[in-house]
Amino acid sequence: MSFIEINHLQKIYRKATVTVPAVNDISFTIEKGEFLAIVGKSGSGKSTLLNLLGGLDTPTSGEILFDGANLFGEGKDGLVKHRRHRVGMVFQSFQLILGQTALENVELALAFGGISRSERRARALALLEQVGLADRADHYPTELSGGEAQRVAIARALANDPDILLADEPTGNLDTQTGEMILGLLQELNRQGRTVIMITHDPDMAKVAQRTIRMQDGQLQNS
Amino acid sequence: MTTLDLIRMALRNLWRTRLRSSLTILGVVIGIGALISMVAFGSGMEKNVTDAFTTSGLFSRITVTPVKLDMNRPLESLTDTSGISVALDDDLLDNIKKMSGVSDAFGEIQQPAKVRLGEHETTLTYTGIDPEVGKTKAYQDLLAGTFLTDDSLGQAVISTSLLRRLKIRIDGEDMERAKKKDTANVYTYVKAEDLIGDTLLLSTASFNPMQMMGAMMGNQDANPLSERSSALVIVGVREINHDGPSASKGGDLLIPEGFAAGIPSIGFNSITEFLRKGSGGSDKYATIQVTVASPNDLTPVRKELEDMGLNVFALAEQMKEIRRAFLAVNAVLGVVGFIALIVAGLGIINTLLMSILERTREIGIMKAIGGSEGQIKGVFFGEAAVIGLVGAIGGIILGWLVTLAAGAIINMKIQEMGEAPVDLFYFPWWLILGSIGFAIGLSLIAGLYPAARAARIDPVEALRWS
Repeated sequence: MSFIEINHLQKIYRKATVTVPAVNDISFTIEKGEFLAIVGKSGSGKSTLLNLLGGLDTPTSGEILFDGANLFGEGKDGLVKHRRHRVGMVFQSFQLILGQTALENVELALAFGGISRSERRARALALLEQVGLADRADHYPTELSGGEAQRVAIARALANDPDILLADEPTGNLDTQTGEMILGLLQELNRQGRTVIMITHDPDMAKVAQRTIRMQDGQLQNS
Repeated sequence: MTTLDLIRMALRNLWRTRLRSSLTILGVVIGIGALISMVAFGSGMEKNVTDAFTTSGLFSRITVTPVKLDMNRPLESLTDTSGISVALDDDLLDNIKKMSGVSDAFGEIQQPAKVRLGEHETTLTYTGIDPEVGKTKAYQDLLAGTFLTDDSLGQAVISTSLLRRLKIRIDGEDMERAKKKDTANVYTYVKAEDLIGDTLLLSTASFNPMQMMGAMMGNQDANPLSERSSALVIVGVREINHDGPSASKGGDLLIPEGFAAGIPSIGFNSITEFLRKGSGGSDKYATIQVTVASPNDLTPVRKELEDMGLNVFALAEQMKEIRRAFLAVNAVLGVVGFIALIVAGLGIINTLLMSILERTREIGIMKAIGGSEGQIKGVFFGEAAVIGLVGAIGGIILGWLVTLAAGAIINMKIQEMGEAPVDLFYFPWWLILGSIGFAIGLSLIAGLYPAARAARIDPVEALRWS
């Protein structure tokens, strides 16, 4: 049994008169500790696939098994637990809450995870230190550079110590040098034993991954 | 996520949009302020009235009066006393005193008379009363002197309202102001103490049936009415406001009952008494005041007196009606405040919906990092609750300030008219706690729809916003 099993996964968006199969009958497996890159053009369905893996979206049909258990089998509560404890998500546009400092952004994820107030601050600071941003803890997202913001987002993704990191174009808004630093950080986290699934449209970035799968028109391309 | 976390987050978010938040809170402040000052006004009026009755001791009092003339009865039956009532005399008084539940009863003689003090005179109905009555609470509040001390002496307890009719005002704290207004120098101003020992001249008319007959026969010298004066020494002065419950008929001049019985008088107050007099059953007393041992005795004693064919009046029973009337007044005042609060509630809904629209992406982020629907609802409920709580506290302060200002202005006018200031507003504890609870409850209800809408936001859609 693989760590993650994707079976005949399908997500169809119905917009007015047209139906768009964003993810069209995909099946593959992901092993524990893997660094997987999903490559494809814009509109290929790779973000939809990642959102399904992250439990942000539900499929039209098919299933995703984590350690043999269907992610979509326990309704909304199951998805909340999945997002809270099993996966950490990193986005192209960082998705930090602008009204909160770097520290508070990380603390919020810890709060959702049920960590007590007293413990939160120390853990959030430790996480920021891990991504090298302890000295920027009290800065607001607008006062951070793109690379710094993405590192805060990674620290937040790690807040509840998830096994899996899902990164949707994590370097898309960054210059090459900063992008490489973020990739290095993801590699480091992968070396520590976390499964990393990263979406990118840049084949060069995909080279750091152990395995690359390609998507086109909602389906996998064998490569 | 604890409740404390939610409240901290709510405060933070409200602070981010402080202008909008404070305008929304102001809406609640005005709503609660209106509700509180309205209900405080109603409660204040009710309290003033009930307190006045309670302290006067009139709640345990039943007043017995002769049956009024029934104009629908055929004229010849008016002289037939058998069906009308029992005469208010000493026999009846003794019987009433022996009734169970009655702690005391005394009769009051009431007669019309003319009084003169110094240069001025006026007419009134005086009351002959047992000096023992001075022990009851209703008669203890004297400005100067004592109550009647001896049943046989010509003593008098006079009231401020009688003095006013005699163009005398009592030197009190408001005198300077009253003097200024009294530009025509109508009044003489004296201290209450200085009146003690002064002599009051009481003139009464008596009626002689034989002379009446003579007058009817055409005898020019026959006068059925003759006037006689009695001198009374003022022993006490008591305050009577005309709007107060003690301003009953005859209360302006109290003299000992024994002395009153000796004053020749016209002998009847009304045509019924006059007609009844001819048939023997004479009322010695104009009223009999019955004091019951406890408020619980009031209804049975009242019933028993009514069964005896007496005309009975108990203020305590009127009080039920008064309370009911105040309940209606309070309800109307409350509705006005309630409408203001409903408007404030709509303001809360509006603010929260706006906030959700602006923070759609933020809600998406919260869901993506593990926030449940319940927690996201909690965030918006937290904001609604904080708006309600801050609004309620502000509203109580506003309401209090408004009543303070309104009370000061109204009392200024009251004092200009020479009356004592009153507490117009009353804040019972239930009003304070109730309005806080009500404001938070209303805010949470107002937050229901926005919170549900926030929780339903699709994170995938929300994260696409930027």
